Amino acid sequence: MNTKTVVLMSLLILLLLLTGCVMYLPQDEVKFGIEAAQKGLWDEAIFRWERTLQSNPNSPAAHNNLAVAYEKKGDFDKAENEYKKALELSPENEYIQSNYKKFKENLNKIEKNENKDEKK
Amino acid sequence: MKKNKQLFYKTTIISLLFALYSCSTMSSSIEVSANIAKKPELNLMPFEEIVITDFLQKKEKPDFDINHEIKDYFAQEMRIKTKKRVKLEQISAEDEKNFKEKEFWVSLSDKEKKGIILSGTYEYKSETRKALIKDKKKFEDPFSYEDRFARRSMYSLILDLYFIDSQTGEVLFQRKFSETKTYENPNQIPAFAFYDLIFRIKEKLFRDIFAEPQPQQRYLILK
Repeated sequence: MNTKTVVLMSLLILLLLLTGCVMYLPQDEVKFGIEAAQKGLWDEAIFRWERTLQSNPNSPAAHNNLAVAYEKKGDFDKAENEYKKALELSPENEYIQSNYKKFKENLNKIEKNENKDEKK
Repeated sequence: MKKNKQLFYKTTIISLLFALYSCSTMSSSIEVSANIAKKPELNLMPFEEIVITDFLQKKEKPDFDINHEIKDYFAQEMRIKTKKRVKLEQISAEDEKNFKEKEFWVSLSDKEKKGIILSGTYEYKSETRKALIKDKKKFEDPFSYEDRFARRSMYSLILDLYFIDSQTGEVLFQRKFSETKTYENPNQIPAFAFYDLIFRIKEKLFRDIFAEPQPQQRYLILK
């Protein structure tokens, strides 16, 4: 193996790694959304996760994160839809399960209050 | 030749290690605390004014005019929070049953203005409790303990609050709040304890009726 081959092989490996990074783009968008959400920029986060879903509609992460964002905004119908889609795609994911459980608890409280109002 | 081969293997292993490291440092989920929205339990928007009536005393009479203090406290807090006109009235329910009698409130209120009545009952209790505690012996052996009785004063405030539509007499919101606090000072001034307790009740009440979002934990995931 001469020096030329070694350099070429190393370049090839580097290229492969770079391709891996490029292939990672939708996930980068998810990550960017998370960073935005952590800074309180929930609209930006929603934009990023919706864009992720355009290129990868079967991303449980994007559906779950969108559900959290909608819940934060008080849009409970949209949040429920997104949680359901996330659970359909990844039923074993304990993070989604935990989020959905807490969401349901929150929603039940709200529904109970609404029922109380109706009774009055 | 051998050197080049070694160099190639070294480069490959280092690249793989870097790739593995970057994968391992990427966490699959992040826990965030978000202020999750809530639906308000009472809509004060349609009301022009808030009328605070006298509160019905349920049990023992404290040393100070607690009814007056409750009215003043809520008048100020509601005025700041809602920016609405707050009126204090010297009318009160004669019995707890009155709170659910629509006619009773309709007959007492001003029919021209759409107001919401804040009324209710209160109970303010205080008691002194004795507790056996272990205390260090002073001036003697600092490592030995002696038993002694400590006195603690305990105060409780129970407020049963009603928000009533002044034109229909309908109860729009009702909740019973109960708060207790223990003080190490056995001579705690009742009025000061009262303000500690009513502050806690106000926080809970406002959280319910104004739907202040509450911090909750959720997971944001990467994959």
